[in-house]
Amino acid sequence: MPEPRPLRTLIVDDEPLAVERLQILCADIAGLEVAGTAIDGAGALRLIDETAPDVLLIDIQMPNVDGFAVAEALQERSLRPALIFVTAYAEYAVEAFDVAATDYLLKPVGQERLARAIARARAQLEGPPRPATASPWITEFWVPHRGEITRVMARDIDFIEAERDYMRLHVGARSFMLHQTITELERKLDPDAFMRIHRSVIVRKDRVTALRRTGGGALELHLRDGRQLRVGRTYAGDARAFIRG
Amino acid sequence: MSAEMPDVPVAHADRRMAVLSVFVFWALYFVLNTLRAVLMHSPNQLDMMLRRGVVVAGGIAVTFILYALLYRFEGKSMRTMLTIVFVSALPASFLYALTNFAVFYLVAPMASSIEEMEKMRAENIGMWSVLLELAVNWYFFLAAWASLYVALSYAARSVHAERRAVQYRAEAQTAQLQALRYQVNPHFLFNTLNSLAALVLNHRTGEADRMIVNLATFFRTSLATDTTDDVALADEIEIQRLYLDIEQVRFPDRLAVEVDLPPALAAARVPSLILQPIVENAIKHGVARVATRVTVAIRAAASNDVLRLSVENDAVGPAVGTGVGVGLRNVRSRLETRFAGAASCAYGPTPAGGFRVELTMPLQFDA
Repeated sequence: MPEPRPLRTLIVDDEPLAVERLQILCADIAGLEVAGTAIDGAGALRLIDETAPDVLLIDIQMPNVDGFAVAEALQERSLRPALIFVTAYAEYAVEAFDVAATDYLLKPVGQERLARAIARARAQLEGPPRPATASPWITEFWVPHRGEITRVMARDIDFIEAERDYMRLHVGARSFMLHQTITELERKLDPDAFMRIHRSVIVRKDRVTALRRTGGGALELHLRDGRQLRVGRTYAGDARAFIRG
Repeated sequence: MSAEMPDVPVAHADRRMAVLSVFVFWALYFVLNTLRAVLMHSPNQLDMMLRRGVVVAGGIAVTFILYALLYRFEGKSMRTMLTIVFVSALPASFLYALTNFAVFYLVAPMASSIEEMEKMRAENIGMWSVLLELAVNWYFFLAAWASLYVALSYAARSVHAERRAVQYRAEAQTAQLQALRYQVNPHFLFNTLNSLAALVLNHRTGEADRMIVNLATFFRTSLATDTTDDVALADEIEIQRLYLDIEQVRFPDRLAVEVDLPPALAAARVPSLILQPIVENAIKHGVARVATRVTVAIRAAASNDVLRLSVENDAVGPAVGTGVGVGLRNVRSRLETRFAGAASCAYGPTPAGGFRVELTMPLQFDA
């Protein structure tokens, strides 16, 4: 098998030590080549035009032109490197997702996590180009999980439950917390795949196996994994219509 | 204990005061009546005095019964207490009248008493009406003492309430100061750990070691400090230096630090970590936002018993939000809570385009 073409990578951070660290970590990743470094967004854009890199490892908070400004400037360019944010701030993940970033790494990032992000960038670059008319519905979520930003695919979610200001995404035996309101979330989800069954619950339709009435007269949805979810009174009609098909 | 009644102890009238008032009341009666007998040259003064003494002892006993009753109901409303006073004074005064009657008229009556009794019998006045008259006279005496007791009880209650209010105020202030406590910015920690990781990866162990020590000292100081306490200004500035030293590793070419602390002010007392949010802002809104070299200057001065602390940065960059950040609001609230109107927090752009925050507070030294 031929050696894969090295990924040309730019490192952008306003802290010299942060740049240095990524340089050292990148040196240990096979098939990766650091094409240059910049200490601010303006310098990054100049370098991108000069070197046409494949991957951009970029900080968010920088003087003058910050990481998001660079991401926006890139949208107008034809050659778009895979964007990987590297930051101490976990709270920009949703915004990063909106600018179609490939990954979101939290400082200080470990060697193994960085390698995974690079692998994802490679898969994206070598895979089929993204369709121009992408689905208007959200297909994945970026959620903070154990000190990392993790990607959760919408197709893996069994159901979603509101907990105060957060939404709990249930994926098999695991769950992830997302800072969002249920209404916001409902609007982003494909209505063919998801349905609201309660003031605080959204369920993935293909997980539903039955609709039953409990002894108390309330409606209950049964999921594939055996879980039972109460159906809110205002959503009872929708649930019945769905079961009837 | 019922739900409406919180677990608050009832304030009782001062016990010594109450007991003393009983004795003073009856002593006064004893002295005044004896004095009257002397002045009026009444017969059998010694015998009368002896009997009066016994009656007073009985009176004291009756008053203590009244005391025990009122004590049980203390803490009830003024209306209830006064009702109890005027109702309970009735049987008390009757009991007393009975004692009085027995001592003066029944037990080995004196000649004058026998005369009086015969006169009453002649006028067809029964024993009961004598008792009643005595009881009515003494009713007011006993009611007066009981009212005094209620007054003492209320005085105790208000003192108690006042003490509690003072205590609550102090507790509220402590709680507020704790809530306003400086909390280490997590981004500072993660960025610093990132710098540290870079130093380690690059085998710059000496620098890494120094940074670890600085970070540990900074955290120990900021986590362990009781922010309701004051610290010496020199210590406060020292921890800011530590913080700035750590930031200088992150921004080696972009941060310069200047400190001006006159030796005479080194021991001045200031609220601990009061400068931290301001210095942190100088990094966040000054140094981190502009690519050029920024000087952060901390200065202390005093005049007329007022201490002035200023933090200034000369970062000239794109204008950032004009609102007061959480940090500055916090500093302001802490000063307000600690010094009431005697402190201030002013801030604004400098003529050169940088930013300056100035705090004033009373100049205090450890006693």
